[in-house]
This record gives sequence, C-alpha cells and structure tokens, in this order.
Amino acid sequence: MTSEAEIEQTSVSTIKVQSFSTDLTSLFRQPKGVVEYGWPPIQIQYLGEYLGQLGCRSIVVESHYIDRDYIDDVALFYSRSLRGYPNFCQRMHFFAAELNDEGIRNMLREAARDHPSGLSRIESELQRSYLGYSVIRPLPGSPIGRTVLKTFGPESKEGFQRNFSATRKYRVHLCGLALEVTGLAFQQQDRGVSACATTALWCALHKVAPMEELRLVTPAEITEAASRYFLPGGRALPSEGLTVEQLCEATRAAGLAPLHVRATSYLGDRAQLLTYLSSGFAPVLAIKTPGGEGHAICAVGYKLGTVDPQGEADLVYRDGATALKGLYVHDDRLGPYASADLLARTQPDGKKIKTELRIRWPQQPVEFEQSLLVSLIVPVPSKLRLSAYRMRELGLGVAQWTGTVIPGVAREVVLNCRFQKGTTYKRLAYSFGLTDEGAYALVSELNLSRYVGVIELLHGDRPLFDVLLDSTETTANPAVLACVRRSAMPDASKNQFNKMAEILGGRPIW
Amino acid sequence: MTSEKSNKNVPARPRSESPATEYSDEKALREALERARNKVKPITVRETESDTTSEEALHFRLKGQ
Repeated sequence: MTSEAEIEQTSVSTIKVQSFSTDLTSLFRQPKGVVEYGWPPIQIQYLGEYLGQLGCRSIVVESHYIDRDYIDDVALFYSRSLRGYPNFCQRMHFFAAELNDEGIRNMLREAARDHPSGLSRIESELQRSYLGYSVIRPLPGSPIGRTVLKTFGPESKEGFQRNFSATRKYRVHLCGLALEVTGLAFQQQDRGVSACATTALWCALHKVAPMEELRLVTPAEITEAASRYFLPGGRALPSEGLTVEQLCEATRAAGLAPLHVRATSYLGDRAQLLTYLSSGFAPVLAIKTPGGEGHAICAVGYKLGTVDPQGEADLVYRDGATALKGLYVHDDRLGPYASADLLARTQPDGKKIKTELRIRWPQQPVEFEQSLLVSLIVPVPSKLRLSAYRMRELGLGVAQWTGTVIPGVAREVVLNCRFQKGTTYKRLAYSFGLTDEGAYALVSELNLSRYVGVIELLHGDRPLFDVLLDSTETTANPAVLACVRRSAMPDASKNQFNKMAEILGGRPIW
Repeated sequence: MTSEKSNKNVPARPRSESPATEYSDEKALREALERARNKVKPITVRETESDTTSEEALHFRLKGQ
C-alpha cells in the first residue's frame, strides 16, 4: 500500500550540482536484463560529446520535473503498463561555468537578500554560461526527453557559414530564476508512443507552430492524429513508424499545411532545402538508409560555402542554392544538430544524380551514415500557398533576364529565394537606402501578404533588387506585388528597372 | 537577408560584355524575358522529374531504428 510519506515524496524536489564529463553514462541507470539496442544508448554518448564541444563544465540536476510531453505519453501509454512508470522526470541544466552545490546555495541566498538587483545579477551571471537543458525520462533505454541546447558558432571548421535558422528562444526556469536558450527541441524516440517520424515532426512543429501562435502538440498527440484515419502498418501503439501520408495528416491536425516535396535532382533538392530553411521553416526529411529502411530527421540549420560559377555557356546568372554544402539535423538515432554533408550521388544507371546525406558526429570527420533523400515534408502556415518551386521557376527566368539586360552584371547575378513575414520585410526595408518616396510607398502604401515570397537578385554578394510575391497565390506569375531596388542596382538602370517591374506586374519601388 | 553594407568578395567583372541601351524599350525587355524563361526551362523541368511517384513517396514508411 502506498504510504502518505511516499505520496508526499513526489512533491519534494532537490537541486544537485555535478561536474561535467563527456561520459554521461554514470548519470543514467542501466536497465535490467539484456538491453535490446545496447548500453549506453548512442544518444547519451552523442549528448556528452556535443556538450563537451560546447564547453560544458557543470550540470545542475532538478530531481523532480513534470514534462508536458512525457506526461502525455504516460497518460496515453505508460499508465496502462504493469510496471509503475513515474509521471515525473529529472531535468539537467548545462553550464559552461564551474558550479557547485554551495555556490548555487549562495547565489539563491544573494538573490533573495538583495532583491531585486541581486536577482537580476544572479540571473545574468548564470545566463552567461547557460548551454541549455535536457529532460531525463524514467524510460529504460530511451531516457533522453525534450532537450534544448545552444548551437555551435557562426563558422564551421571547414570555413562554411553556419545558419541555425529553424531555432527559437526558449524561456527556462530554474529555482525561480528565468534563463533563456536559443535552439530547437530534440528528443529520442521511445518506441512506445513515438518513432522517428513522430519525433522529427514534433521538432519541426516546435519551430513553426509558435510562428503562427498555435499551441505545441505533444508526441502522443502527433501519433494519435497520424493514426486517426490511416493505419497502413497495423496498430498505432506501440508506434512502428509512420508513413509520409500519416505525417501529412498529423501536420494538418496541428493547424498547419503539410507541403510534400519529392526529391528530384541534386540542385533542385538543395534549392528547396535552402528556400524553406532560410525562411525559418524546419523541413522533415524522409531518407532511405543504406539498408533500404525509411527514416525521418528534422533539418534545423544549414552550411553555406561560396556560390558556384555558372556551368552552362548560355546562362548568365549563378544559382545561390549551389552554396548549400550541408545541413544540421535533429536525428533521433544520434542527437541534436548532427552535421549532414550534402553530396551528389550518381545512380547505378548513370543517368540520375540523387542527393546524399552524410551524417556525422559533432565537429568530427567520423561518419555515422550515408543516406539518400527521398522527400521533404515542410509544415507551413496554411495561407502560404505559393511553393518554393513556383517562386524559383519565376526567379530563374528573372535572374537570366537580369544578367542579360542590366549592364555589367552578366554571369555575376546570384539568385536566392525565400519566404519572409511581410511585417519583417517592411521593417528591414528601412535599411535599404530607398528614396523618401520609395520607402514611404513600400512601408505605408503597399499591402503585403502575411508571408511574402522574396526573389533576391544580387551582384556577387551585394543586393541588386528584390521581387516580392504574394504567397497567398498559387502561381508566381500573377503574384508579383513589387520590385524593390537595393543598394547595388546602378542608378543608370532606373528606367529599365521600372519597366521590368511593370512587365512582371508589380510596383517599382526605387 | 543580404546586408546593404556587405560588399566584400565581389568578383571582378569584364565590362565589355554589358548590354548597353538595347533593352531600354518595353518590347525589347519583354522579348528578353521570354527568351530568358525559355533558356531556364530545362532546369525547371528537371526539377519536377522525380523517380518516385507521388503515391510511392506518400506511402514510404519512416520507421527509424
């Protein structure tokens, strides 16, 4: 019989500080018996390695943490097991500073004694070295729950520019202190409620749902929504993976539109990936592993190198998508922000070139796996109807046109496409150096859709002009709202620019 | 978004290949746009050709480990 003391115990929490070591295994209890996938799980090893690279030195462990995602898993699945799974987790907070129990006690004392300045001083001090947190679930073999960690810096070891565009700020509370971390939530699949597809979509929705002020759905809700109408693989629980169709259904149930894009060619795939990622969306990638199995991962960021010169003699522009060298992915078999290099793989028939992903351990050349991209599922706001493909179709023509008709830019015009909130674009436009009339027309006379498609033409890396598209339209042709002059556009080309805008059906903004 | 101030690494360009004023009237510009769109058509066509049918791709099971 459960005693009152045992019930009381669940409301008692402790805070413990531990020194960090890249071998985190000692912090986890090894399950009894033969562990199906080996011990320690690769995710624990990866987490230790990643935190070591971030410069972690201390871990603050909260012994009792109610996690919204895990408690939903318990309600749907674990509460009906013979084993009595606790409904609470532990949470580890990672710091780059050297901390200890006594030091934390003193900090909390100072925050209370010298309120409010002491509180903000302590918060700032901890914030400076805060690297993020990881929820530790009481699930044998799959303990890594919601984990939000800082990303690496803006330049990779190979000299590529890193951009973690599908991250956001998370507010975290530790002993009543408010901290922040910018990242994207990751978790390990538990093989009960969620498989890889559920967790990959859950990661993607963590970025896109807040952009549209939608509530965040839990893995349990995703699996339930995905299997409400389709059960191609039999029972829904325990989860044995989802089909792409089921992922689309779960995305729709979460209030967003699932955009399904099949892989086509190495360049086309990179263009799709770059457009959606640079727009702040987090595509779920359906990949085929070397064993022919399907697997889902979530793209969180990308690596850019230099734009390749145009290889075809009669084309006079460069494609910005050729600068995409790799991705950062949440791969639930491995961990958050795993590096994935993109390569062209010629198929055995010698005709088709497919996109290969080489997933690696953090900041190391050690490869984890080589897979082929099959398709992307991008959860987007439902009013974003214009696809990246349609925008690019117009953009390629405009880039070629620009290289032909604007003096002095042939073969150096670079094309980039992205979506952006109309309000953000207007705010940025104050820095464009437009004429007074142009700036006024853009910010106060031009109606923009909530998201605009932006076809950006550059000369080298300096912006020439943007073509703004209404993303609530389905095709790019009638969707042009305006052409906006940028700083590298020669003054002498004003008449041509105005006529080009009119031909495209948009308002010239100079 | 590309910064207005970012001007490093702009490649040197041969000015001789610049078209001059031949594209100043609307008719010539419209024709140039049409030609440009035709030139890039093979690329856009290639980017719609997948060796997976829509049905196959939708039914692809993502199972992971």
